Amino acid sequence: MKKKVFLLESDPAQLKPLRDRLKEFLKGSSLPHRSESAILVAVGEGATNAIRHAYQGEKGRTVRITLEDHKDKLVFRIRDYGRKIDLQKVQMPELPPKKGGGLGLYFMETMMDQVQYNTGHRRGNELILTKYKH
Amino acid sequence: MKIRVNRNHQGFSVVNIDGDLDFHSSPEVRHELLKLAEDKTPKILVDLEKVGYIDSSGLATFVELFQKIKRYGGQLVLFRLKQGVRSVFEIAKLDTVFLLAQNEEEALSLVS
Repeated sequence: MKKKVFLLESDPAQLKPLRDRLKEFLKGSSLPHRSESAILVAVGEGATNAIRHAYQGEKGRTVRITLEDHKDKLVFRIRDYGRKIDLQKVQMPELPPKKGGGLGLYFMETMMDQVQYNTGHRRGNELILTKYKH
Repeated sequence: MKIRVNRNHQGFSVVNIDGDLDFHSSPEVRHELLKLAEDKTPKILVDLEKVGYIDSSGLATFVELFQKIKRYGGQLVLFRLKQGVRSVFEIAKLDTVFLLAQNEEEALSLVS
């Protein structure tokens, strides 16, 4: 298994560099282009949630993103150390949306094969996104 | 992120966006687009050819613009969407709400 860890500062300006690094990581994973685009959006939404909701826009905090390239799947772990968020309580948006908010979680659920929350951490949140290769 | 607004005296404006539309860049785009809504621009055409990535914040910008221009009977057309960007609109089922065109000529014909 290939594994890489990115430490991201909780600054929206870091989202583009994150995508660039993700693209680099995905180069060797033989995924269809469509899946690659979906991963970029889903992982971006996860990182945005950490910056926006867990850290409530506070800059200078850490978002730890672990990328795992397994034989049959890719796993992305997005870990923050901010305010606990109960994503189970987030309602799915009405579609098509009549207002802006609430689409991030829906995108993650739709674009990835599995979305899990590790609620076992004393502090912060861990979101685990999985995409199968076939 | 670069955004250029060409206001036309015939009642429409063409907006060219160059760069990714994410949680970082969306506020700037939102600011520019909402100025057009404040001026009650009748027809807004947005060229997305140079947008390679859009997330929920980017979509929210267009949803907000759309809601505002609807109040005065304005029209919005997005054109030259890349496949990855178009897919995001489709997943959110916004392709059924927004007018999407292949090119500027088609975009103009949709609001003429």
